[in-house]
Amino acid sequence: MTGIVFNIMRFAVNDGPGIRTTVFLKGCPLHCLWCHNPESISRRSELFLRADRCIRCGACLEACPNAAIRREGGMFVTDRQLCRRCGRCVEACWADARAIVGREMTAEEVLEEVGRDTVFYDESGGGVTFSGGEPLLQHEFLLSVLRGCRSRGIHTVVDTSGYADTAVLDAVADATDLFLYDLKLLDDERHCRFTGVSNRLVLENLRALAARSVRIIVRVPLMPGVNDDDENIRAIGGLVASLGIGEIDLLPYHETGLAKYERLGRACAMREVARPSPARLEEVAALLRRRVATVSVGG
Amino acid sequence: MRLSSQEGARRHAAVREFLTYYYGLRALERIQAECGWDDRAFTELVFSCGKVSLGILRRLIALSAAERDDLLRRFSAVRE
Repeated sequence: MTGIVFNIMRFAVNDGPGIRTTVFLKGCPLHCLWCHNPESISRRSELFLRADRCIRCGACLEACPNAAIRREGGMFVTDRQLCRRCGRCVEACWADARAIVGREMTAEEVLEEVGRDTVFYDESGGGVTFSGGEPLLQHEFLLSVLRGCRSRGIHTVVDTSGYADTAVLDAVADATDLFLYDLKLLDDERHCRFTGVSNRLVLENLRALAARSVRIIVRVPLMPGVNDDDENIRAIGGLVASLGIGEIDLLPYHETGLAKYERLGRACAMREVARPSPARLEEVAALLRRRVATVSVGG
Repeated sequence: MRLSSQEGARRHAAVREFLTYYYGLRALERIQAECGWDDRAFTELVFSCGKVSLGILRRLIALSAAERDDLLRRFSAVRE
């Protein structure tokens, strides 16, 4: 059983309780305009270029077997149409300016990697978090790793958009200790406009999940001008309270993902959006606290 | 509950910083032991190439002195 993983981050402290290892699975059915992991959207591997690190040594040009790299005004330009993502330029690069994002891993390889930090999970009440992308998109692989973690006594978290087949979510819930469940917009038309998909399935799945005895923390990524209006926040607070879920994490938008769009050679539609002010964040948190017992800023 | 959770995250972040430093230092010590360079030469190399992976550091060590000097000049030119 293999999956496409684009990052394994050790010592993560914002992806669930304690010290965790976060496994990022590639591929997402949503196209949120603010996505801070744009490298997660496509299921296939991609070339990541950090132009600021390039030392203009030309090793990539010599290594490329597909003539996808050319010299242009002292710089080395990569034609992504010609690039076959073979990784030769990455191996040749002296400055870590190039990377292939996304690699195929077996469930056993992931389990071996995450198992290295068991002592820190035990000490801190941590474990392993599966994020993405949308981890449920690779549900068979995810289930295999989740079951492996459970058999090793490792606490598991699945960070999901909830946009998946309900039967898949149900199967994953049997093997997961905690869900971090994203809620963005309750108005379906706006949800479609900003994420590319309807929120109907997301809301149905949240209701189905809440009816089970699995622990859920709802996460609300907060984007000024997109979903931080009082109406949306009140609606989210009301829904979460009605489902008996007692925890919300507010995740304020940040610009750190913008550089990744450049590295992937893509445009970002949210370039003009600024992070929410501390005052607005506190107002939003206060609105939610009227309905939900525990509201945290950050993960 | 909320406060204790956030304080826990801060405490864990501090642990993470320490572990990153500790494991990073241990990894550098291993590489230095493998190549047998003295402290001064090894430290100069680590600070000359800036933000590179341990794999690149190993590749730099394996080069001839002339090749390494040429690359390190390029690294410093980019940083300026």
